[in-house]
Amino acid sequence: MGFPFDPTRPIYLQIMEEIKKRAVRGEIPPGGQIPSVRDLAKEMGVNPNTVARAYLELEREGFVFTKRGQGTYVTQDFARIEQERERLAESARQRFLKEIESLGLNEDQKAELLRKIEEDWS
Amino acid sequence: MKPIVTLFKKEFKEHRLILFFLVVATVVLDLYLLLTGSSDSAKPLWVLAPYSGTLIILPFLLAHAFTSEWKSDTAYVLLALPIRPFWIPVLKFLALLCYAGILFGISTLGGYLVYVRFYANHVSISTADFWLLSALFYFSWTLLFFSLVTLMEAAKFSVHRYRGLLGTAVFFGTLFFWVRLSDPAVRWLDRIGHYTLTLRIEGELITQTIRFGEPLWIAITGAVLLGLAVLLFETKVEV
Amino acid sequence: MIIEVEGLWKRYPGTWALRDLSFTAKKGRVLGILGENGSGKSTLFRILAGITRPTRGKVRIFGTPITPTVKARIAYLPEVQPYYPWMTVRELLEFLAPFYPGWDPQKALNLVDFMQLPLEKKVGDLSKGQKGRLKVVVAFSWPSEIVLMDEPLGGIDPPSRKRILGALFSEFRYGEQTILISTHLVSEVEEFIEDVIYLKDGSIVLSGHADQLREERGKSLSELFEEVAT
Repeated sequence: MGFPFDPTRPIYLQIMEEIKKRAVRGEIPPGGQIPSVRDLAKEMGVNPNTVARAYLELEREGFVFTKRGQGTYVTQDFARIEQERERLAESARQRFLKEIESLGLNEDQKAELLRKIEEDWS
Repeated sequence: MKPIVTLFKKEFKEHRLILFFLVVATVVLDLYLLLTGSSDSAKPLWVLAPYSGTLIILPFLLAHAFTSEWKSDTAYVLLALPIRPFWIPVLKFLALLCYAGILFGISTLGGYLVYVRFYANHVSISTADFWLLSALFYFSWTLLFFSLVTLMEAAKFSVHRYRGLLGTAVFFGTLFFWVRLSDPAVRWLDRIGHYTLTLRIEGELITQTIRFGEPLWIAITGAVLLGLAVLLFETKVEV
Repeated sequence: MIIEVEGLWKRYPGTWALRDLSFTAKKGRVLGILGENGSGKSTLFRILAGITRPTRGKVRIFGTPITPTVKARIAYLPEVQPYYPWMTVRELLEFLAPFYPGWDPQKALNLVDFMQLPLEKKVGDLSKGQKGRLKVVVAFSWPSEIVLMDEPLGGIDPPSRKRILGALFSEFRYGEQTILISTHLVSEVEEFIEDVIYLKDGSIVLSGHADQLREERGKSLSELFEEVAT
């Protein structure tokens, strides 16, 4: 039910990542409101306390801010969101490289892989 | 207050089918005897059956009222209720006492009607005395049996093993001490007073003295046994 | 600390169900008590609910020993089916209402609706899944401060489990209400539990914050349970 969590990693971190991804994707515009703690908890099928913790950490990182009595919003700072996009893309790249390294491909196989990826993205 | 009343109502409702059955059986039997009996047979004496029958049956029903809570796991709810534990045995006791009151009333009424119809010529006793004697006997023994049963059940559910054995031990242990102490106790209590009853049997005037000793002794024993049961519920009884 | 357990021992004839158990529960959070059958979970819950007495040790809830006043703030869902089988669902709710402050009859009816329970059916005639769902209706019909759920999903059909978890997630008053939930189906409540205690043979073998354990060990609560249980 809800969001496909990886139960071997802290859940609050995964919630934070999801909010960041939504902002990076543009699903939530800069300055846009993120779902309330209870709404997100319900949507993702997770304990609201964990969502609350994630929001607290996001605020500490400066990625979101809370308007008293009104809700929580993504930062209006474009650069900050851009920074996060780069960070997420970079860690995805690292994971991918690590996975490929573990296969021990040679130069030709790697070239073939790159060609296929370019095809996927065109 | 409301929670206690609610629990009492539940105790009363729980066995109302049995109450209903006993009431109906008594009424049917009494009507039958009134309509078909005659003064020269002993058949009308069957009117005593509901009276003595319920006196024996109700203590068993009270025991069942306790045991069924543990057997059907409803004790999990009962003991978790936000009330002082002593209410549990007290309310069951009172609910079944109400049953006793109802059955006493109907069976004694039936008995009185049978007496009036068939035996009033042979034995003459005032209405008040009839009911007084009937009540005295019925309620003193009911209270005693009820208290004994409540103590047995409280003891049983204070332990987790050998419940049946403990219940039996409490029963015989109490009986033993009660019998041993009865004579001196009753004699001592008789000093408190007596009631003189006059009746006519076959025209002859007879006086009968009812000493208060025995009913008082029964009441005291009942109170002590119930007190011990309440103590156990407050300190030892658990799921 | 809303619940404090100190040096708790419980003996039954022939065995010790709980051995020197000590832990605390924080207010407003969900504490998972995980363990195999026979690990002492149910015994612990019975003691916290005030229906079983400790052999040794201290239990304090809201800072005091367990009294009727304390019981009026705790909703207890035992593993067994504890309701009077001769009562209808409606009669049961009416029976319990006066005991628990803040009981909301309308809320109860809404939950009965959500759980798709037949109001006029006798409790004894309900299916296992319905009985499980009924317990949850009872628990959340009033604003209890502590909810003790002993194996709420055990032996219950998947659709009922879904409904129960759904109600749990939406009814839980996080920050105000404290939930203790025991289960051996850990994966079902993996995302709901915040703090966790693993019980084995009556003692705590592992405890901590769920996310912290995940970070430290790179394992899910479910995987840790497998490890700990062997």
